[in-house]
Amino acid sequence: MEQKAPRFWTRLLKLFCNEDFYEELQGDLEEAFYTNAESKGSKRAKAIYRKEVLKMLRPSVIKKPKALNTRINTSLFKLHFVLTLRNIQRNKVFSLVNIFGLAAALTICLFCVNMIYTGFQYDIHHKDADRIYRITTDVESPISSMRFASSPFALKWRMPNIPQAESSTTFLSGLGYSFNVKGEDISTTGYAVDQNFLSIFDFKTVEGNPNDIFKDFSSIIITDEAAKRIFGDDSALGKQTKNGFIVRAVIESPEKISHLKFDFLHNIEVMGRSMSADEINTRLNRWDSYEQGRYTYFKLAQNSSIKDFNTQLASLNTEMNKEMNDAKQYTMQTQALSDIMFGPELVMEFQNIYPRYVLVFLIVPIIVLISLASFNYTNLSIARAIQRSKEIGIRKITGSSKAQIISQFLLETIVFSLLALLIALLAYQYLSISFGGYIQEFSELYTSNLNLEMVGWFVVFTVIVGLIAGLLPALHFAKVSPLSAMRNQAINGSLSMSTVRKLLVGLQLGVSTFFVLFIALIADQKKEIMNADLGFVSEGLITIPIKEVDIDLLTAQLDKIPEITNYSTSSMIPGTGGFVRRFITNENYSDTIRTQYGVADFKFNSVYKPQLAAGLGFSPEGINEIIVNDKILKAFRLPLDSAIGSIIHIMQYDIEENLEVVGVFDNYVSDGLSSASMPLIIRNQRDTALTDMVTIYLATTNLSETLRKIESGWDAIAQDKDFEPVYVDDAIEAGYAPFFNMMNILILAGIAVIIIAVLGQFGMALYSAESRVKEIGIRKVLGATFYSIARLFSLGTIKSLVISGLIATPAVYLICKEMIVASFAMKLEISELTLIIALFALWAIVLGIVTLQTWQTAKANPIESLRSE
Amino acid sequence: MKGTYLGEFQEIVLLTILVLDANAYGITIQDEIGTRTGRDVSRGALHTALTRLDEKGFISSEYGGATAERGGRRKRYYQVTNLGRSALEEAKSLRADLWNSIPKIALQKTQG
Repeated sequence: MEQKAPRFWTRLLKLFCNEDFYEELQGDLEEAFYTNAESKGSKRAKAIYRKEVLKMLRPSVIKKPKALNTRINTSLFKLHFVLTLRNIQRNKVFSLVNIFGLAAALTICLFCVNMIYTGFQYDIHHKDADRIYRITTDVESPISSMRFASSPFALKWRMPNIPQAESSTTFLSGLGYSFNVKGEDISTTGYAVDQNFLSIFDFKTVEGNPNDIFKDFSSIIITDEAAKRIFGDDSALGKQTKNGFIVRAVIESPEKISHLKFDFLHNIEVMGRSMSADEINTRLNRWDSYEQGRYTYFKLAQNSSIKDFNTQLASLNTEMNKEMNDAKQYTMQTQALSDIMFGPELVMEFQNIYPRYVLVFLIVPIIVLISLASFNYTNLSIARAIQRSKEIGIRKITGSSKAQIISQFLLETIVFSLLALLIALLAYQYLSISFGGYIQEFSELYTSNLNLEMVGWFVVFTVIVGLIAGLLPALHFAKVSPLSAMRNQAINGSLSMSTVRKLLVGLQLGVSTFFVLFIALIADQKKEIMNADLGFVSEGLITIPIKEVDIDLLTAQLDKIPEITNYSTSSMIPGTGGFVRRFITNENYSDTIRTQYGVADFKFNSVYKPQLAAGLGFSPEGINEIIVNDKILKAFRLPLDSAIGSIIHIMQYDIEENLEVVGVFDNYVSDGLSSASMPLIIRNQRDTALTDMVTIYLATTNLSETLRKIESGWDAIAQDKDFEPVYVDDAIEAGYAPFFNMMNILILAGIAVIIIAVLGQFGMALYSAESRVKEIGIRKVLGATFYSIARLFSLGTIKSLVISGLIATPAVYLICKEMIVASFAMKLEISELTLIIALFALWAIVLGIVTLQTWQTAKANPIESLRSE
Repeated sequence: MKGTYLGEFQEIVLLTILVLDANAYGITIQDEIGTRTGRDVSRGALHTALTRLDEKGFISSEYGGATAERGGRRKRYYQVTNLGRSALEEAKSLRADLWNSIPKIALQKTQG
């Protein structure tokens, strides 16, 4: 009898066997096991035992599932619901703090959920979207490795031979046609596509027959969005582009539903229309066109696997490498349509695709905010543990199981979070009006109109949030033993609950300190950036885009207005980029570099007042004069003192011109957002092709009157073109928008964090003051002053504030220095003063709340507070 | 109580309990059926039959004392109730009736 019956199978039997029969059945099996073990050997006995246990899986043996009775469950649910409502009613402050904290977190999270949802909606509307793939090209060279979203044009001739591809399409991106409407040019971008494009990708037809464009070379399809932008409410059919292509059909715009981005589609055969078959083969059917904006998509055949396709592609890879025959290694890969959005970062990717880090960027605030808001719930629940554990003790004594206690707590938090969702939705509606503009960089990911499905996701998300928030307290309270709960004993866990609470409070304060400092710094940096020395004067300047109005007519109009003392024509607004590129060589042709190039007339000096490190700037008639920046001097190794008067050659369309340096910029910032400044020259010229702005210096006090005069002058010569003046300051600020958009999301999240933390602190202060009413009473009786009580109560808070400040301040300082200041072209200072002010402001708020609560409690008459037990 | 119909296997179980008399519990019944009929019955299948018989009131059971060879678990001994006995009688007489009503000729085995 050394053998034991297999333990696992015994346990299994115990698990499913009805308790009434277990003793008899297990006993019988075990007895049989021992007899068998003696007569047949233990191995055989075990096998028989196993078989017997498995054969026990029959309705007469298996235990009846308990508590699956739905009536009992709904009544329990009702009870829990009533308990929750009573709890909310009884602890109004606690509930409000939690609900508002959760609402603040949810509001921001809803925007993030919206954007994640929108991202995952991309390209799911195509028929058989799960079978559509894109071919990407990996290029490995000894020094770098890049993955292109594009692929070689040669695939167009190879893809039809792969049996696993049901159909394939290769298109060319980056076409640009423009329409002339009422004298104004509206430019559009589009793709040259083949017929399969329209069958693989589903875009609804609005007008006309899209397939008509494949009948000739002069027809195009435009999107409904482009049609509205260009022609307004007029039908677009039959309209012509400037180079004579005729609109034959209008289809649904891919905006916000597809990663493809086009205004029009043209027949791709137009590329080879004037070529012979041989020429097409040598000029188009090439492998080296993988980086030229050709994209290949295909639909996998119904019963094929992508593995088989990849095997076929591998042989094409071999062909490509043989054909290219250079030091690089080329690998074409397939990428599922659903992997494109939030996928890997590729070169030559379409503009409206956000790589995976954006998804992370959206998930991080969700996690941070939800955890912080959940901390509030956990903290306040633990703080009220004694009161609460009595309730739980009673429930346990009357026979509640662990699961029932947990479900009560979870239901409570879910009700809290659903109430919070109501508030959050209101806040969402209020904020959503301006949110789209607030985050322009990500606007492709944001759906401004709520639909039912999204609200559904919000509710699902909220319920999950409720579950997360309630989990820790629920598990904690479920562990409570009824006896100790009734005796007011603290619960001994592996980790003391008050330690957890202190940790959570500290963490929350730390994160909110971080955000307070961060927001203060961003606001400060914004001011700093706007006031940064750009190397020229932008104040009081107004720029008017010329829009093909005759410059001489316009300047004649401007000359007529007495208030205008000074104006300059140029090809750019300084500080906002807008340069073209040119190649220049130095005096003896030994060096060629690429430079940014702009033109401005000689009044550039007096209007923008650029600071010059050397030279005097433009003279009235010197059309070959240029002002350069220090990068040019460095590239051509020209010393500053001898730079003036040196000659630089500029090349454009085989025409060479000799330009003379008449000035060197000192600290001139051409584009605030690019961290490294490029070589730059500005030429004293009024170039009919480039000059498209006139910048006016308006010293007058009566600005609107002057503007009206200019407008009437404009109307007289510009037919029906709109007069659209901009302040140079505004234009520069608009240039920084992408950066501030990113920061805006963080600031929104930060505000929510601060609200949550302050609410949490408020709840804790209220609670700790209330739970020490008697202590305060005794202290007062013994002669303590309000000051000493307040000091006693705020000591702990001050400690955690100081610790969180010590952690958060260096973190903020480092992040700003490494990430924010580094991304700007101008020199910026981080203001320590702002940091300190922000830190003390937060401390003052938190301490104020604590002191206020203490005061509220302390002012009570000790007789009242000590009287009742 | 479900119907009083006695299935073939249930009848065998009842008879086996009677055969075993005072020593009728799970293992002995299982073994007895095994040796007598050559049927390999699993304990689970036997349990189902016993449950049905119990529901019909044909058998009763009681726990015996704990025994070491079963890991201290008690045996449950089964007895056939009077109702069970009469059900067996009934089944037997029904069969006897049927046997007697068969014409002699029909009992002869057919050739081929």
